[in-house]
Amino acid sequence: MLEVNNLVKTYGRFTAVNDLSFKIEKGTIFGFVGPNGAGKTTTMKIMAGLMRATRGSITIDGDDITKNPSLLKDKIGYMPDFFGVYDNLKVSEYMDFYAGAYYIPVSERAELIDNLLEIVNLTEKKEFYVDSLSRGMKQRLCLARSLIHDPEILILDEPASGLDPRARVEMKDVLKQLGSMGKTIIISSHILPELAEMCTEIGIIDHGVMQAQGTVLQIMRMLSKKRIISIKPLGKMEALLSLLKELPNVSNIIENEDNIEISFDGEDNDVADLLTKIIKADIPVVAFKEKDGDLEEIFMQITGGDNKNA
Amino acid sequence: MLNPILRREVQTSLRSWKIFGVIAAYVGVITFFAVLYIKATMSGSLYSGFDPKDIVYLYALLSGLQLGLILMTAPALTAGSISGERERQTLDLLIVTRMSPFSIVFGKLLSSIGLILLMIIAAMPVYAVLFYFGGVSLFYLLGMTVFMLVTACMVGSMGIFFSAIYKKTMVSMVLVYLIIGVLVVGTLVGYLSYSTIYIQAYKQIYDYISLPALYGFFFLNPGAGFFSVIDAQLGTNFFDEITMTYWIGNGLKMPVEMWIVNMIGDILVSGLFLKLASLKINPGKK
Ligand SMILES: Nc1ncnc2c1ncn2[C@@H]1O[C@H](COP(=O)(O)OP(=O)(O)O)[C@@H](O)[C@H]1O
Ligand SMILES: [Mg+2]
Repeated sequence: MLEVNNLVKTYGRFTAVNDLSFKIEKGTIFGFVGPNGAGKTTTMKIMAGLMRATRGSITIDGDDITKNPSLLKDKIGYMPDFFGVYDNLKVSEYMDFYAGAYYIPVSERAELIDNLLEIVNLTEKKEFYVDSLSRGMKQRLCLARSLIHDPEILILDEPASGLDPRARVEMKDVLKQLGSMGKTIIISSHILPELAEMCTEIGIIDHGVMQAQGTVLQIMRMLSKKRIISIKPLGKMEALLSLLKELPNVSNIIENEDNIEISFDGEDNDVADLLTKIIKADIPVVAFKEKDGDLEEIFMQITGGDNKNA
Repeated sequence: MLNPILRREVQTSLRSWKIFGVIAAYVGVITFFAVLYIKATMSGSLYSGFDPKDIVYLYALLSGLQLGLILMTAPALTAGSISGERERQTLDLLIVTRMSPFSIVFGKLLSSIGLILLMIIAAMPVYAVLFYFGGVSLFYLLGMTVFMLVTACMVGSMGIFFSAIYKKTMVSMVLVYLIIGVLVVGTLVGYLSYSTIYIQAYKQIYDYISLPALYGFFFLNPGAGFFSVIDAQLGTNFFDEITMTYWIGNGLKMPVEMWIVNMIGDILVSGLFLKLASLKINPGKK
């Protein structure tokens, strides 16, 4: 089991990861979701040993990997969000280079490389130059590279970003296959639905804090207790805003051009009460409706809705 | 097992034309000067071949030329070694492997030294002239090659160190060239000033203060090491003449030859800079 305990990372005065804690059981495909700047990459880099945590620990079956780099290197395979390849190197040589860098015996390499290329569907590209591959292929090659020392845990930072839909599907198939091989996989994304269908568990991070964690179903259920209500006043936006801010069962107020969206915690009669309060405050209401809580909507609500231009 | 970085860099650089261009230019320059020298010394004496002394000087000239070229090349080969990986976004992928930060920077050094060795080997046929006319043996050349490679290690490890610090390859390159300038010219000027001020003024304590000064100023000076090698091989007195110990001392004998001190210094400094570079790229130390 992987445990992240009270992880903190500060860049100067800025806190990117703020007392983050979560647990991931072995064999889980964990979707690490949050808007840009939430602290996903920072967390993953610390897990991969590329950065030191300011505070906190990360343990695998009880051993603190932040204090044991060689254990970390054995157990973790990492694929960064951005990476490059070398010029003048063929796919097989690329794999062989990293096999060498993991000190895998020469006698085992040929078979290992063939197997990995098979998994990521790059067998036919074996003798191609790496820099001639498409982005999706490079991405899968880099995934194969991260598997070369047979790590228990795979950390993939936005593996689907920048891929066209077809390449995305291919990547997903590969990840599903790896999941069925029993690997623990942590995949980050800033798009929730992208992960929902292939992850067994989802964690939603924002501002360096885990906002919610559970199975996809649990998250939906937990979140759908909160209703998302859109209110369109006739002018008087400011008055409505300050009224809403006063109310205890209102959270995540998003101000749109001509309406306000809120997360509302309560039963039907509480919703009716809310409307009464607004009317009593002399704010004319043009529209007042509860929105369907689809996943993306929920996600936007939890993460404060600053995800639109992500 | 062969350092994986060395292996990969040999593999990829042999596929690029750049490397052949560099080697061709290197051999070209050396051939050019060899021909120039032979023409100049032959013009006086028709058919008489060479004076063996001329051959010996040609050896010194070609070796000095090589050392100069290596001092120019090594910084250029190493100054982008880490920053290049960073720019290409491959450094993180290396750091997460089981390779230690030290073996990463060491692999980088080996790659550049390997390339320099290749250049030296490519230039060896030019030396064939020397062997043909006699006066210089293959062992001299091998000894000189070892000295040049060790010097290249010192300069190269500095290049790697700066490359781990500065993003711009040009910055690292300029810094290493500046250091080479200080080591070659700066220490000589320093020593000569020191010796004119102190040693000449107090001739009676000359022996006591000149030795530490000689070692102190020149232990990293590639030129001093070079002339010391030449003197040891050919029985010349270049080092004494340049440092003026020949003129002002009374047959000063150095207990340990300069080139030995020089090579030990080079190795220590290489180790130091590689260690510093490895600390710089080690995320555990940040
Ligand atoms: N090297 C750095 N120096 C300063 N701030 C940084 C650095 N790296 C990331 N940040 C900041 O930390 C926050 C979290 O970044 P990141 O972990 O990359 O988020 P995510 O991957 O979720 O988009 C962002 O606000 C980002 O600007
Ligand atoms: Mg990121």
